[in-house]
This record gives sequence, C-alpha cells and structure tokens, in this order.
Amino acid sequence: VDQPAFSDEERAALARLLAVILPSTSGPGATEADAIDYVVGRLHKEDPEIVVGVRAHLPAAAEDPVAVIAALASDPTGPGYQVFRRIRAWAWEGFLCDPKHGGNRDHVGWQRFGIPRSPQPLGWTVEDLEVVDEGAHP
Amino acid sequence: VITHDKVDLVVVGLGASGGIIASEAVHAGLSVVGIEAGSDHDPKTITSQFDDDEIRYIVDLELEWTDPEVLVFEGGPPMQFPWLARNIGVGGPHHWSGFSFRFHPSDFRVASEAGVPEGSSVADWPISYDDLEPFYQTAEDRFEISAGTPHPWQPPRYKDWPQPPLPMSGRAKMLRDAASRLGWHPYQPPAGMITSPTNPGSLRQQCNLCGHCTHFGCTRNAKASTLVAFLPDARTTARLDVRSRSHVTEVLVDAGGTPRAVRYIDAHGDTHEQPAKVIVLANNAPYVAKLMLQSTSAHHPNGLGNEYDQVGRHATFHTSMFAYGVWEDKLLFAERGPGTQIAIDDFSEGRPFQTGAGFRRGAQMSAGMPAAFAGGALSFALALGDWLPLPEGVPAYGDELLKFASHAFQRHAAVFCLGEDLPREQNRVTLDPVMTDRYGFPALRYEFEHHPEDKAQIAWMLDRAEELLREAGAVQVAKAAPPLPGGMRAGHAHGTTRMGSDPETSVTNDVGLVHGFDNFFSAGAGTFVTSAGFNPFLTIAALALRAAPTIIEAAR
Repeated sequence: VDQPAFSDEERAALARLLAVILPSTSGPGATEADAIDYVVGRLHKEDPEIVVGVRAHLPAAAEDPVAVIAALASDPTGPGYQVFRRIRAWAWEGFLCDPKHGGNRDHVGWQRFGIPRSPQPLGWTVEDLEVVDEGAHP
Repeated sequence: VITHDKVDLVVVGLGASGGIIASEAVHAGLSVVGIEAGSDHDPKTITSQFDDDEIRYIVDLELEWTDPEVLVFEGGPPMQFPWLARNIGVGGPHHWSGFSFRFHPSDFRVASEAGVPEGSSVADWPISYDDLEPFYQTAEDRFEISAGTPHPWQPPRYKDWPQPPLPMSGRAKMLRDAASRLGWHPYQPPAGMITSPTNPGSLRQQCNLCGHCTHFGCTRNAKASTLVAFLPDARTTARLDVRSRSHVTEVLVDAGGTPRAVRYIDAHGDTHEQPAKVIVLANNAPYVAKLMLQSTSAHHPNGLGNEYDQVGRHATFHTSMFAYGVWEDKLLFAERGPGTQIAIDDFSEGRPFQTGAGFRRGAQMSAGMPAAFAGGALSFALALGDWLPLPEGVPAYGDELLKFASHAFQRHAAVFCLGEDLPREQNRVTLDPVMTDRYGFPALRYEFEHHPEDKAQIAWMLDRAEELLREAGAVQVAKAAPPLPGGMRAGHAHGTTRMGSDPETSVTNDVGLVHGFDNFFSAGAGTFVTSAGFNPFLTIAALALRAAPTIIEAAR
C-alpha cells in the first residue's frame, strides 16, 4: 500500500528519533549513516498500520524526540512498544544495510562494527576463520 | 476453470520431499505435474540472483511465504503473524542451514524406550531406523552431504559420507575444547555442503565459507537442495511439468469420494483443475493438513482423510533454546563460515533423563554460529532486544546499545539447542474460524501448548548452553527460549499427518498413503510420529526416497 510521502518536517522529526536510538555520542550513528534515507526509500514496503502509528508521534518528536522514544519504550507490553520496535529496526537497517538501499553511507555502520568487506563474492578462507586474540597484541 | 489433461501423478510442493518424489516418478516413466507456490528457478543462473543482502533475506524474507497465520499459544489470545518460517520456491529447501543429521534409532521408538508421559501422545513409528538406513545413505549420496566426525552416539552407518568435513573455525575449536573439558563429546555435524574442490563448470561449487546459509540462498549451489541435486536430471525429460507461483486450494474427489484432481490458482488469479491418477501433498506439513481439512465433500465432510479427526493433530515444532556469549578481547568472527560448526549429542534422546533430569527426551546442542544464526551485522543488531535478549545492563536503545552491539558483533559466538517436543493430541493445526487467507479459505491456525517436560527440558538446556559459553571464556552471556513453539522460526513443523498402522490414531501408513485411499499420499515431516531432537531435512528426504516406489506403483 502506498503511503503519502513524508513532509520535510516529518522527515526531520523521524531522523531525530532514529538518532535517539543510535546516537552519535561515541562514534558514527544513524545520522552519519543517513539512516533516514533508507527509511524514506522503503515506506511503500512497510505495514501501513505501523507507518500510521509512527506518523502520529512525529509532531511530538519534532519538539522532544528523547521523550517520545522514552515513552514508547517504557512498557514492553504496551501498545507503543511495537512502534518503538519498528523505529529501532529502521535505525539498525539504515545504519547497517547494504548502501544500495540508501543508508550506511560510506559504510560507516559496517566500519563501526569492524567489518572489513562484504563476505561475497569472495567468501572467507580457512585462515579468516581463525580467532584473533586481541589481548596478545600490545 | 481451466481443466488440464489427466496425468499419472500430481505433486503439490516441489521442495525437499516433493522434488525427490517428482524426480523419481519421472525417471520411472510417469507423467508428472509439480505445482509449487513459489517461483521457479534455473539452477544454472539462480546463484547470480542470490547475494548476501540482509534487507532481502532477513528483513523482507524473500525466500519465505509471509502470509499471516493465527497462533493460539498456551491458551492465550489468537495472534496473527507469519509464524512458520516456511521456504518457498521450486527445488527447496533454499534457506536452510545445512544441518544433515540422521535421526537416532531410539527416535523411532520413543514410546517403547521412554513410555508415554501423561498428557502426551508419544508413540513408536511404524518403521525403525534400520528400515530407513538405506534411504539415509542414498539421500546423503545424492545431496553430497559433507561428513560428520565420530562421536559415541553416531547412528549406525555402513558407508562414508560423499564429502569431507567442513574446515573447522577457530571458535569451533575453542568451543570444542571447552565442551571436552566439561566431559562432553563435541563433533562436527554433517552438513549439506560441497566441501571438496570443484571444477569451474560444475553446477555445484565448493562452499566458500561466506556464512550466509540460514535465510539466504547459496550463491554457489554449494548448499544442497532438490533444485541442484534431483530436479536437474528430471527436468531434462518432458515428463515433468512444473507449474510455479500456483497455489493448490483443494483436492477434488469423484462421485465415489476418491481423490481425482487438484484445484489451484495461478499467478494471474486463474483457476485450474489438474486431474491425476495419484496425488501427493508434499508442501510444508501444516499446510498439508490445512489442504486436507479444507478439501471437504459429501463423502468427506470433515476434510479428506479426517474420518477420525486426526488430521492436524500431534503437531510438533521442536523446542528451541539459544544463548550467546561475548568475549572481552577475542575476535571470533562468528558470521564467517557456515552455522554448522560443532554439535553435541550428550543431551539428546534419553540421556539427561537417565542421569536424573526431569524430562524423558532431550535436545541437541550446536555451537559456534552467530547469535542471529546467520547473516552479518544487521542480522545480529536486529535480533538484539527483539527475539534475542540483551545482557543485563544493556539498554534497549541509545549509545550503550550501539557500543555493546558494535563491540560484541565480532567477539561473540552462540549456542543453539533444538529439542524433541512431546506430541500432544490437542497440539494441532486447524482452520481459523475468523481469518481468511488470500484465496478466501480459512487461514491456518495453530493451537499449541508445551508439555511440562518440554518446559523442564528448555530450562535445563539453557543452563547447559551457558555452562559451555562460560567454560569457553565468555564474559557476558544472555540466553532465552522464544515465547512460542520454538522451532517455528526455524521452519520446523512436523506431525500433522502422523503415520501409523491404526486409522483411528494416525492419518497415513508408513509410506504416507492416507488411510482409506490407494492414490492419495502425504509426504514430508507431517508424517513424523515424534519430532526427534534433530533437524528434519535428511529424514524428510529419506522418507521420500522410501515412499517413492509405492507412489510410482500406485500411479502406473
């Protein structure tokens, strides 16, 4: 089902929510990865009910995104938690997806997770499967 | 309605069992129509369509049928979701992990060995391990299964595996050594992978250890499937007619109540009728039951083969327990290499019970895969705090979550346990009274409650999983069992068309022939009597090979 496109204000508010989930405090986060581009690019694939649910929180998110996420995540059995789960999943997807989907700009997500390259098409060698003892190196 | 010419055999579902049965029938000279809900594939080009894109296979579940089903779990409210991770597409399984265990001799005689716990419908199979052994061997040869290494409880075998074992990762060696220190008996599990060097032109190429097995299609055809192991030969003849993206909605009967045709809807929405001498339902087990239940007629008002209300009952899904550990200063690279790293049978069959545990049938442990079982960083991150617990003290979002996930990804390894769940008559697949599927038939409904011994097994195995991770040096451990019939998300569903000799307590005979008919078969894991604590693929294949001659004879 097609969703009406996000307005610029909605897009900015959603980007702020993604940045609460994966902030840039200690390194690149959702903002540096352009995670919002990923989300906007796949809105048509999402469950319309969830999108409507997220939209409802965007006006408040424009004011105080931290409070919105805190409220949604406060009760894992509450109705808001499904919306929280979806926003968190979007943040990860936009942070760690193959960049062709719009997020993970310049592979910032993969770099932060220590991924040297895509596993395909080369796969890994037997040597690549060995454990590296970080404590053994100064 | 488009009515086709009658053929010898219709096979519904061209996966692990349907692909085998259709191929064997074609080679016996029969005309066969295979009807498959998913897409058709050319094994020579399919590898170029697959990749390691986690959005395609983990988020959008491209290889799964994702229509919602209804689950009533432990008496709770009905919940809608595509619960069963069921693979679609001609020549499946495509998205499996590759674990290619045989069941053990005791798995076929659980009632005799363990008794029948109160509140369960445990029974012996009408066949023994020895009856199935030659077919296990043929399945291993045809699928080119890679070898397992020896262990004290290895089921009897009389021939080597066709492929050598997978290379062992550093983390597998680490977990193997830890298990040995605990007095356990770790081994390398047999896997459906090509492990020896191959020629560049071969249809199946040697596994390149990319680690994207579960949920993903194989980019090298290294992973076994009927698409690459059985169907290529069958499709060189004109006798196999594959109708893909076609969904069978009913089995039709003649005036005497005998199955005569299937009705299906193609991708354009057109309705077809395909008459056949013999009909085999080889789609995913719960959907075999659904199809039988919704195939009602004057002769069969409660569905085909359901005279004694047995269709859909005795459903089992395996218990499923997972734990992962995080190491402080070791890069384990759990996403590299297949998930089939090490296995431990010390807690399988009746072994825990014999040493005082409160459950009669145990679970198999495997270790060394990533916590999300497969895929890369995105699969891992998406699972955290979702279906995979976070370690204590790690919040559900924010900088601490990001720091934890980015540290743990390359420094973690997981333990998965897959247990035998005891069958119960009331654990069943039925038709939902409210929700409908996309074709207007009732949606599939699961009613499921764990037996108390299953719950004891889950708790006990989670402790063993943590024990192994701690012994191997993990500094953080998180563990959980999913709050649903565990193996559903692994696509393990068995026992909804149980085999047996008594029509009042089973649906088919020992080769899947539905009681009361001579031309109507159920194939696949639906016929399992008990679930055994092992991945079902090889047993599904062996049962199909064993049933094929009877099916062919019936269709001549």
